[in-house]
Amino acid sequence: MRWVWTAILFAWKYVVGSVLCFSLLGSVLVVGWTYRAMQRTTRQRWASYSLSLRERAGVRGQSTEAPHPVIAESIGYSEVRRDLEHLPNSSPLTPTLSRRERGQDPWPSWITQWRTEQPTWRRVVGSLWLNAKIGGQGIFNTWVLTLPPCVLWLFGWYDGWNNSFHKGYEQSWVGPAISWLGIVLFIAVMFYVPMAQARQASSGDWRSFYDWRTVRAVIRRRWYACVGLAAAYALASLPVSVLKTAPLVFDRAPDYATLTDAQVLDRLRGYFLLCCFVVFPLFVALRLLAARVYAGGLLAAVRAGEVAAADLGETEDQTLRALEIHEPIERSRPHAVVRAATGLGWRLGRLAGGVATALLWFAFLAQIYVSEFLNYHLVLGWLNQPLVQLPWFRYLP
Amino acid sequence: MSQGMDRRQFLSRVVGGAGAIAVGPELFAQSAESGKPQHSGADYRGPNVIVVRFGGGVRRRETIDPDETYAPFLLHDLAKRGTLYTAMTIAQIEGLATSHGEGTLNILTGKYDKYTDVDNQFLRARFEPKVPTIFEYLRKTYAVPAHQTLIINSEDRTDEEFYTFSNSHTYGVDYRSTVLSLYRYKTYLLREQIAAGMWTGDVLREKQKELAELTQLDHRMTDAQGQGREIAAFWSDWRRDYGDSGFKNPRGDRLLTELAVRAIDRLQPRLMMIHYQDPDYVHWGNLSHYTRGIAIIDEGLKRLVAAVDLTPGYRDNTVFVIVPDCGRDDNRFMSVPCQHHFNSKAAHEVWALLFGPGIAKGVVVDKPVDQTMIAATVGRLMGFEATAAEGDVLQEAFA
Repeated sequence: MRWVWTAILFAWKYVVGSVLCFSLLGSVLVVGWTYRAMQRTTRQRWASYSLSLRERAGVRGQSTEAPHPVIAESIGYSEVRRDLEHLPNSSPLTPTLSRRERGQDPWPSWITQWRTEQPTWRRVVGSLWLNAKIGGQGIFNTWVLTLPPCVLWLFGWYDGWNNSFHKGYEQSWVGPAISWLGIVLFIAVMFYVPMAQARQASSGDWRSFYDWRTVRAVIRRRWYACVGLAAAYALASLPVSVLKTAPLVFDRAPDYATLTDAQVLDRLRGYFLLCCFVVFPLFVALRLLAARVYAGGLLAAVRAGEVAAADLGETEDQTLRALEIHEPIERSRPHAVVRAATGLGWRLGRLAGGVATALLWFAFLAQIYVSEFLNYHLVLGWLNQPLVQLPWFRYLP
Repeated sequence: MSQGMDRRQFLSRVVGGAGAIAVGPELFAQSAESGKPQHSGADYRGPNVIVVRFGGGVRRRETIDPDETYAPFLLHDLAKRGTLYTAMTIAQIEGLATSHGEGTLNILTGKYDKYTDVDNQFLRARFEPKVPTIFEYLRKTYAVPAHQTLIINSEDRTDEEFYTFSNSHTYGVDYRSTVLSLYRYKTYLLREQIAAGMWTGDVLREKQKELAELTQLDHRMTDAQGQGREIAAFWSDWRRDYGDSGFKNPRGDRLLTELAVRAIDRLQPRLMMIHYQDPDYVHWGNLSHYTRGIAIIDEGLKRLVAAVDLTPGYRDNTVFVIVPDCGRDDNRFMSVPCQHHFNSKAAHEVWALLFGPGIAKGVVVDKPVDQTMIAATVGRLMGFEATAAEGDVLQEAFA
C-alpha cells in the first residue's frame, strides 16, 4: 500500500505546486518550497558521499551505534524518505514536521525550533510563512542579478525597433547596444546565479548568495557540471518557449469567430493553468540538478582546502562535521610534469567549458527573443523568465 | 543549383558587376533608351492612375471602421469622393501566403500564385511573376516611357524593387516600370561620386565594392540598363535638396510620399504604385507603430491628393486606387492581436477605395470582391485589357 500513498502524495504535491505557478504569490511559495527541497538534496548528496567513504573504510559493519540522522537519511533511505518526501510537509501548503516527528530536520534549528509541538493549523501557517519568506529572499537575490539584464533586453528591444520605425539612423546603435549589453550581462550572471541559488538554499542564509569566493570555488570545481546545467536550462526552455508562444495559432480554432472576449480569456486561463503542469516540474528539476552540482562542488572545494569552515554556512558546517567530511584531504603531490600537464588540461577544459556555457546560455536567451517576436508579451515576457526567476506562467492579454 | 541561377550569376558577373561600375553615369543615362517599348503604340490619353498599397498589412478595423480608424482622411473625406469596397478578400488557396510581396503581385498582375524566392532564401521575397504586370500591359498598349510608369519603393524592402516586370515572353523587361527608392538613389549617388573622382586608392576601392554589392541585389539585371536620363535628372534634383548624407530627406513612409509628390511634379507618371509599409513594424510588438504607421499613410494620402489637385495634367485626371497588400491577424489570444499576418482569416480580409474622374462617388459596396480584380479595373481605367488577370472589373466603381 505504500506505493499508493506515495503516488497520492506525489500527485498532491504536483497539483498544488503546478496550480501555485499560476499566480504571482503562489510562484513565490513554490520558490521557497523548492529551496527547501534543494537543501534536502544537498544534504542527501553529502550523506551518500559520507556513507560511501564509511563503507570503503568498513565503518558501517563495525559500528553498533545508531547512525547519525543525516547519514541515516542516506543509509536507510527508504525509511527516511517517508519523513522527507512522502509526508505532506513536502508540499508548499502543508506543515513542516517537527524535529521530533522527523528525527532530524533539514532546516536550521533557529528557524524551526519555535514550531515544535505547535498545533497543525499553526504549522500550516508557519510552513506557508516559511515558504513565502524563503521564496521572497530567493527571488529577491535572483532579481538583483538577473533583472538588470532583463530590463536591458526590454528597453533595447523597445528602443531598437522604435528607432527603426522612425529611421533614426544617427542613433541606430543605441537599441542594439543596449540589447547586447543585456545579453552579455545575462550570460555573465548566469555563470553564477544557479550555484548562488543553490548556496542560498543549502545554507538557509540569504546573504550567502553573495559569497562570491565560495560560489566561484564551487563553479571552478564543477565547471563541467555547470556546462551540463546550462544545457539543461537551454533544453528545458524549449517546451516553455513553445507553450508561451502557442496562443499564436489559437485563433485557428473552428469556433474562434463565435467566442466572446470573456470566453477567449477563460480559454487562455485554462491553457496557461495546464502549462503550469509542465513548467513546475521543469523548474523543480533544474533547481534540484543545481543543488546536486553545488553539493559536489562545495564538498570538493572543502576537501581540497579551497573553502574553509569559516566560509561555510552554519548548517553546512554542522552537516559536514556530523558526516565527518569537513576536513581537507592530504593528497600526495604528483610530479611537477604531471602537475603541469593536468593543470594545463584542466585550464583548457575550463576555457572550453566556459565558451560552451556562454553559448548554451545564449541559446537559452535566443529562445526568449524568438518567442517574443512571434508572440509579444509586453513587459512580462522580458522581465520574468519562469525557469530562472519566478515559475509564474500566466500571459493573459 | 538550377540552370537559371547559373545564368543569373554569369550575367551578374559580366553585366552587373565591375564592368557596370566602370562605364560611368553618362552612359547609364544614355542607355535609358532601352527602357522604351519596342513598338510605336498610340499616345496615352487616359487618366493617370495612382495605386496606393496601404501596406505593411492592415486590418479593416483600424482603417475603415468608423469607430476605430486611424485613417480619418481616408475614411471621412476620400471615401465620399469615390467607391469603397469594404469586403475585398484575398482568396483562400492552399499554399498561398498573405504577405507583402505576394499581395503586391496580386494587385500588379491580377493573378494569385505561390511565389518562392528566386534562390529559395529564407525570408527573402525576390519573386518573379509569370504573367504581365499592369505596367507592362500599359506600356505595350501605349507609348508610355519607362520613367512614367513608376514604383515608389521603401528602403526596408529592397526585394520589392524588382517587381517591375514579369517573366512573360510577350511582355517582360522591354515593358518594365521604373523604381524610385533610396536604394536607387544610393546607386546613382555612388556612381556620380566615383565618376567625379571623389575618392582614390583604398577608399575608392571600398566605394566600388559597396556599389558592386548594391548592384548585386538586382537579381534581374536591370541595373546594367541604367536608370534613365529622366530619373538621373530626378536624382540630381534630389541631391541638390537633400545632399549626400541621407540624413536630411524624409524617412520611412514619409519618404515615399515625398518621392511620389516630386515624381508627379518632375516625371509626370501615368501609372504609379506606392509601396507603403510602415504599419508592418507591429511584427516587433509595439502596437503604436501599427496605428502610427496607418496615420502616416493617411497623412501621405492627404499630401498626395493635394499635390494632384494642384498639378495641371493631374487635376481632374487622376484616379486613385487604394488597397492593402494583405490584412493582419485578429488573434485575441495574444497581447498584440494584429502582430502578424500568418494566413489567418483576418489576414485575407482587405478593402479597396477608388476615387477620381469616372468613379462613382459616395458608394459603399459590401458584397465580397477579390483583390485580383484591381488589375482588371486599372486596365479598364487606362484602356488596356489585363488578359492574364483572374479577377473581373470592379463594376460598381464606374459611374
